[in-house]
Amino acid sequence: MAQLTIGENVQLQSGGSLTVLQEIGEGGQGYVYRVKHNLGKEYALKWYKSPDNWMFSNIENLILKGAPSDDFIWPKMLTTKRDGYFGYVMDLRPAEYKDIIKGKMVVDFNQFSNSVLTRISVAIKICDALKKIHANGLCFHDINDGGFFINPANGKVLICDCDNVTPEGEQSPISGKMRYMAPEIVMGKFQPSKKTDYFSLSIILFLLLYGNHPFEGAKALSYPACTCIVEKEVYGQNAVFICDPLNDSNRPVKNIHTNVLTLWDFYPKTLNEAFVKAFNKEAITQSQDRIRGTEWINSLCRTRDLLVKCVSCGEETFARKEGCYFCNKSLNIPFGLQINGHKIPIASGKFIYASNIITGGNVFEEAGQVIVNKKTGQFGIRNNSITEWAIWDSGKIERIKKGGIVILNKDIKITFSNEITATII
Amino acid sequence: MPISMDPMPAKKLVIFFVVDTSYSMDGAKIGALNHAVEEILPMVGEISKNNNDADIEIAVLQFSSGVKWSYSNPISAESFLWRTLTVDGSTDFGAACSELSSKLTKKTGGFMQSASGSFVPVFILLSDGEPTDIYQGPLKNLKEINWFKAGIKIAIAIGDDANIIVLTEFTGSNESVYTVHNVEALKKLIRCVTVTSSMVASKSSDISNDSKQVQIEKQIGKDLNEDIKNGTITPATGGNSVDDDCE
Repeated sequence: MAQLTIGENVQLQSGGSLTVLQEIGEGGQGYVYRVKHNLGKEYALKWYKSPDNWMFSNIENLILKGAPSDDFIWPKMLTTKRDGYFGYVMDLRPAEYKDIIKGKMVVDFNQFSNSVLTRISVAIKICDALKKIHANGLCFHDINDGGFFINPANGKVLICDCDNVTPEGEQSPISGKMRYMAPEIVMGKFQPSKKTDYFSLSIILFLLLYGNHPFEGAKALSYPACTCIVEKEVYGQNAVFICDPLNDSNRPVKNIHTNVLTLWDFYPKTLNEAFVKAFNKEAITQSQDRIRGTEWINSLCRTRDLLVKCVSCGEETFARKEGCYFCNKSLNIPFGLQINGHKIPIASGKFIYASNIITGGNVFEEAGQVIVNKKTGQFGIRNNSITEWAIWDSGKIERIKKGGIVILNKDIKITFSNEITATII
Repeated sequence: MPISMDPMPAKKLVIFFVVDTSYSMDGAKIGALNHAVEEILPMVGEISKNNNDADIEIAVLQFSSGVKWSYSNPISAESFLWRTLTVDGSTDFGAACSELSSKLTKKTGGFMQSASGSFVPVFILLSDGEPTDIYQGPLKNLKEINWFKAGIKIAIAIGDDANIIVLTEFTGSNESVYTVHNVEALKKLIRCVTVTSSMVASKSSDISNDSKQVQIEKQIGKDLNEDIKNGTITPATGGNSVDDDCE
C-alpha cells in the first residue's frame, strides 16, 4: 500500500516493529508518519509512494555509514517490504526547529538579536554541513529549498531529507526539482556529483541571503507559462544570473523581486562578487569552475568580518566609507585589524573567530571579542581562547592569556598563533 | 529598522473544476461531489501555503442550462470557500468549453494574468451524461488554446451514462479518464485527483521522462489500485465495471 493507516503495524528489517500514530506530512516522494517502536521510542517514518530497489539499497548503505554529524536527521532503520512498498525510520525533528525556507518565505531572522549575523552564520553552517557530506565520499544529490531547519533559540541548523544522499560517482536515479539543480543535470546530461552539489548550494545560499531566485528575473517572466521546456531554458545551460554584470537580459523586476533589489546594495561587494562568480557563464556551463564549499565558507566569513553595529542607530550594517546603510551616519570605526591580507573593522561587541587567527581554526569559535571601556572609551580585544596572545608595542612584548584584554593602539602587533600576526591600523 | 524580507514571488497555478450540474446529477451524485471537493480544498490550501514554488488558485465552472462561475475570478486555495453547487437543466458542455476558452488568456478579463508567472493550469472535468448542446466546435476551439493544450487534464465520468468519448476528447487521452460507480469511489477519486494534481503541478519540474500529466496518472493508478481492482473505479483504458449505484 502506498499509504498507511493510523494504528497499522509495520515490521523492521532489523527486527522489531512500528505502530503508526499520526500522518505528519506528505511530499512528492512519500508520506511521513509519527510512529512508535515496540520498545517505546517515537520516530518519524517516511513511506515511499513509488519505491524501487535502488532506493532500498541506497538507504541500507546510508544506515550502515551513519550520519556525518549530529547536524543531520539521517536514516536509522529500514522497514521490510510489503507488496514492494517500504519506508525508513529517522529521528523526529524536534518541535522547536522551524523551516528556514517555507511557504515562499525565508525565516524571519529579525527574531534574533543579531539578525544579519545569524543569517550569515546559518549560511556558513549549511556550507559546513555539505562539506561534511563530501568529506565522507558522498554527495547530497538533491539540495533544494526544503530540508533545512533552524532552532530560533540558538541558531542551530538541522538538515533533513537525507535519503537521496549517495556515494559520489555512483549511478543513481535523479530526483529533485529543476529550480535547484545544476544546469547540466537540468539538461539531462550528467549524474549528480560534488560539483552539481556546489551549484545547488549556491542557489540555496542566494535564496537565503537575497530572498529571490538567482535565475528568475525579467527574462524568466517573459514566458507565458512555466512548462518543462521553459524551465530547461531558465535553469539549464542558458540560465542568466539576475545580477550578471555582463548580461542584463534577466534583471530583477521592480515590485516583484523586491528582496534582491534592496539587499544587493546592503551586502558588501565581496559577497556580491562571490555570487557573480558562482553564476557566471563559466560556472553555469563548466562544472570545474564552481565555487566549492570551502570557498563559500571563506567568502561568508569575510562577509561576516565586515559586519558591525552602527554606533548611532544600533543597526547591523557592513563597514563602508558611506557610513551606516540605514542612518547614513559615520560608523566611527577607530581601528582595523589587518590580518591575513584582510582588514577586520574593530567595532564594539564584534567577535574575532578562531578561523581569523589560526590556520584551519573553527569558523564558529569566538576566540576574541571587541570591548570598550565605558569610562575611558578605550577599545580592547578580550582573549576568549585558550591560546596566549603576544602583544608587540614599541619594542615591548606583553602576553595576554584567556580572559585578558589587549588594549588597542595604532601600529601594535598581535601574534595570535605561531604563524599569524595582525597589526592594528 | 532592520531589513525585512518580502515573500518570494511564486508562480500561479489555477485548478479549474468544470462540473456538470445537470438534473441527472441530482441527489447522491451532486451531494457527494460537493462534500468531497469542499473537504479536500483545505488540503490544497495547505499545499499552496507550504509550497515555495507556487500559489494555487481555484476556479469552479458549473454547466447545466448555461454556465456559471462560482466566483468571478480564481480565488486563492488558502481562502477558497466552496459554494454548494445545485443542479438545474441540461448539459451545455459546448457552452462550458466556450466560457473556459474566454478565460484562458492573460488579457483583461482572463484568468491567466500573473505578474510573477504561471505554471500550466489543471482542468478537472466531472460529468455524468451526454452533452445536450453543440459542443464539437467549442471543444475544438478550446483545444487550440495553448493554455489548454499545455495544461493537465483529468476527467471523471460519474456512472456509466457519461460519454467517455467526449471526456476523452477533452483530456486528449483515455489514460486520464476514470469512471466511478458509487459515491464513495467518487469522493475518493476527487480527493486523489485534486491532491495529486495540486502537488505535482505546483512544483518545479523534475527531469524524469514522464511529463507532469503522466506522473499524475501513474500516481492515481497506484493510489487507487485497490479500487481499480475491485471495479469501483474504471480507467477508460480498461478495467471491470460493477452495477452503477450512483443514481
